[in-house]
Order: sequence, then C-alpha cells, then structure tokens
Amino acid sequence: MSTPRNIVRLPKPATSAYNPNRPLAANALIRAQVRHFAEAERHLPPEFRTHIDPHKIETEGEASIYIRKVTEAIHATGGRPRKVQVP
Amino acid sequence: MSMGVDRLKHIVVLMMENRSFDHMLGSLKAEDPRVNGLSGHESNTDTTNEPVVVQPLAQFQSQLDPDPDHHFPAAHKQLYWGTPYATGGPPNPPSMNGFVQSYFDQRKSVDHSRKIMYYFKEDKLPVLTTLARNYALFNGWFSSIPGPTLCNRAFAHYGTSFGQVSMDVFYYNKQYLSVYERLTKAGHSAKLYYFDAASSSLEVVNLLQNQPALFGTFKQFLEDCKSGALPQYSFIEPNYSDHPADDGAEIIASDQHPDHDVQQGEIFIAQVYNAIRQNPALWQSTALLVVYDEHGGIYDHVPPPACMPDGFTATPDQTGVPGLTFSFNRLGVRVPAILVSPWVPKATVVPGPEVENGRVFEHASIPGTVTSFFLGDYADRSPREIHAATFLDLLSDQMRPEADCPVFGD
Repeated sequence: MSTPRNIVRLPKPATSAYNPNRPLAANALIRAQVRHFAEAERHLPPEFRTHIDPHKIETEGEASIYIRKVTEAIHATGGRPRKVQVP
Repeated sequence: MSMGVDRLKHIVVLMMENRSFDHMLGSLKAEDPRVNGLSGHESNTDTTNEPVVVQPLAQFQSQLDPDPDHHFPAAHKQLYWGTPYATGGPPNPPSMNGFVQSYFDQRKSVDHSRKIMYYFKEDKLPVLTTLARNYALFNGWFSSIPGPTLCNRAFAHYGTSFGQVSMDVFYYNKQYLSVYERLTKAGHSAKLYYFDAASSSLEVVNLLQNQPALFGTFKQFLEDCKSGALPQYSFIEPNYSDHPADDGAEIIASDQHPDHDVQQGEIFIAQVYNAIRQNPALWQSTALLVVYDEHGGIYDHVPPPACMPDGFTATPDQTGVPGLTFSFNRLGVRVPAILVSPWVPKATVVPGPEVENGRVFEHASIPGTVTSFFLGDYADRSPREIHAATFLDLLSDQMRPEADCPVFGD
C-alpha cells in the first residue's frame, strides 16, 4: 500500500511515562471527570452503583477504576432514557 | 461542489487536549513562512519585569507540572495582563502578555513560570508536523472560549456551551440538540468513540448516561475502519489516564494533557490516521480533522478575535473575574488544527487573522460543517454555530496519488 519513501517512523515514549499513581490533584480534567461520573452514578438504579466514595480517590489509576465501573454500569442498564433531576 | 466533497461519505474528528498552536506547531514558520508560527522573538514579561522569550525547549513530559491553569480567570489573565483588564476584557483586544504571570501564580517560582513559553522543535513531533506539512494546516483555528476543556468541547458537540465557562457542565433542559442527535434523528449514523471504559467519555452527564447507544470504544473504531462500517460522523476521544489493560498491560494516556506523555499522543494520532488511510475505499471518502480542545494555559502569540455573541451571558460570579460579564463575544486561545484527506492539496496553509480576509474557525465550525453537509439547512442551532466558518471547501477536485500520502510505521 505504501512505498518505503512515504513511511514516517513513530516515536516511542520512555518506559517511565506510565504512572497510574500520579496524584489526581495534578490533573484538573480527571478530577472533573470523576465529579461528573459521581453525578451520573447518582441516577443509576441502586443495584448498579459502585459503592466507591469518589472523594477518596487520590490517583489517576484509582480514578480509572471508578470511571470504568460507572461506564459499564451505564451500559448495563441498557441505555434506558432516564430523567435527570434539575438540582 | 468539488469532486472531493462529492465523494465524501465520512467525517471524523479527533480532539486532543490542552496544547496551543505555537507550542506544537509554531516552529514550522522557520521552514514555511506562510505558517503563522513563531519568529523566535515573541516574549512575555515575568514577575521580575524581565522579558521571557519563546524557546524550543518543550519536553514530552515532566515539564508542565502542575497542570497550567486555564480556567476562565487564568485564561483572562493570560490574554489581558498589562491592559486595564479589571475593567476591560472582551471585546477589547488582548495583550497575550500574561502567560508567564499566570503560571507563576501556581508554584511561585520565576524559573518554572518561564517554561510556559517553551515550544517543540518540529522534529520532536513527527506525526503532527507530517500531517501539517502534507494536508491543510489552519492558521486561525481558535478554541471557542478562553477557558477549560468541557465548555470548549461542548462547542464541538452542540455548537454552544449553553452559557457555561467552566468544568461544571450539566446541560439540563438544553435547547439545542447535539450533532449526534440531529444526525441520528434524521436517519444518519454518528458515534462518539471513547478509548476504553476506564478512560470513558467527557460527555458522561450530557450524552453517555442518556444515549449510550451513540458510543463506542477505540477498538471498535479500528474494527469499523477495517470493515468499512464507520458511521457518517465519528468523534474520537483519546485516552485520558494511565491505567492497566484487562491483561495487565500498561496503557499510557494519549490525550497530551499536561503532564501526560506527548509522544503517546503522537502515536494515537497516527493510529487514527493509519486506520483510515489503510482502507482504500474509506481513505478516498473520509475527511479527518485533528484538533485540540484548548490551549491548556500554554503560550500562543495570536490574539483571539472577537466573534458573534452566543446569546448567553456569564455573570461575574460565573466567570470568576470580579466585574467581568462575558457575552461569548471573543474566542479562546488558538489551537492546532489540521484537515486530512487525499483531496486536500499538499501543504495547504489556510490563512487566518494575520491577513486581510483570512478565515477564522472555532469548535462550533465542527457541528456547523457536519450538520450542513449531512442535513443541509438546519435552523435550530446556536448563533455561534450558524455564523461559524465551515471547512469542506478545502477538498479539491484532484485526488492525490497513493505515494504522495504518508503512512506512519514502527
């Protein structure tokens, strides 16, 4: 499909790049994402809740576990449209 | 209509995180003067009143820690420092002189605050610069709001942030449909692909919890590209976190959000590109836009222009800037944006506000382009989206030969 002439070599990250223990305090985006997932979890049926306290999440790795559980629960509920209460 | 538009069946948008145009692509000006990048003389003033000149010393990781503040008050300082910004602000022109001052606020280190002026040499980002050199680079693509991720990403999904300038984006009773809802209601196909469940979507409250059928994973995107099952419109979210895979493998965040590794983001961009590029039928019928959501607090030299007000107003309580009401009448900081297609003439540079009659794009250009292409006239859109520039006119009548379009490999 491609000629050797038009192949561009990909970079390789350092092995030290991976750090799931990075403090959540260092990333405002994931902090906000956790907050939003906590809001979404409030609207899940009780049997689908994670029983994880989002306030106790301290690292990126812990956040990813929580986000994964809520995402899977949202899909497991079958995508039934549900009314969100206006706070 | 050009032949490229006539053949177009798919639009794909990949939105990365938190890097400014000059930080990622500013060095390209040295090899192509049409690129509105850096001359090497641009500067900001630090807290000792010394000028800090831009330098090609950006590193892939461990340099911008803590995450540079880019919430509305910080972005406002970055844009308006040195002007009477306490009473000014939009629509007055920005100074672009407050980036170092703003970063100093976080660590109170003069030396560290200067790093916000660092940019990448072009050879450090082979994927992004290859795409910029080979397809259409926008000199004037701006984030939609001088503020953080979620309100900016909302413009890509809805053409507005419904008056929000923060990360507290809960769009109850929203008056405009997302572009995905518009398309699927009209019988078209659309999907948001997030990386995996552990990274998930930034659209959880607004779309994922109400319409999970609109979502897929990146693995599914790769399969859909291979099998020819890609929807008409796809929006791709990178991996937002370092986390283990099911088999224990180490998955590195690919969003390029500081302090995540920039090279992993390069690999991710290449994976998206290659997936489309390696299916000949898909390659010939797809336009891929690679764009960043906002500047992440990092320096850019181009003052964001004024824009059509959005019909919403953020009060001083909401902007966080005493006395400043924001009418969504000025864009945020400029970001990298590249349109990829074999129908784009090689080395296109789309002029921006640096020239008279230059073109200005923002994230409302995304639903604006997608909606106009697939649905034609569609009235129920925000004022910003209605007035946003669209970009499919960059597709030409001439498809480039195979050997003229690069591929990324190990």
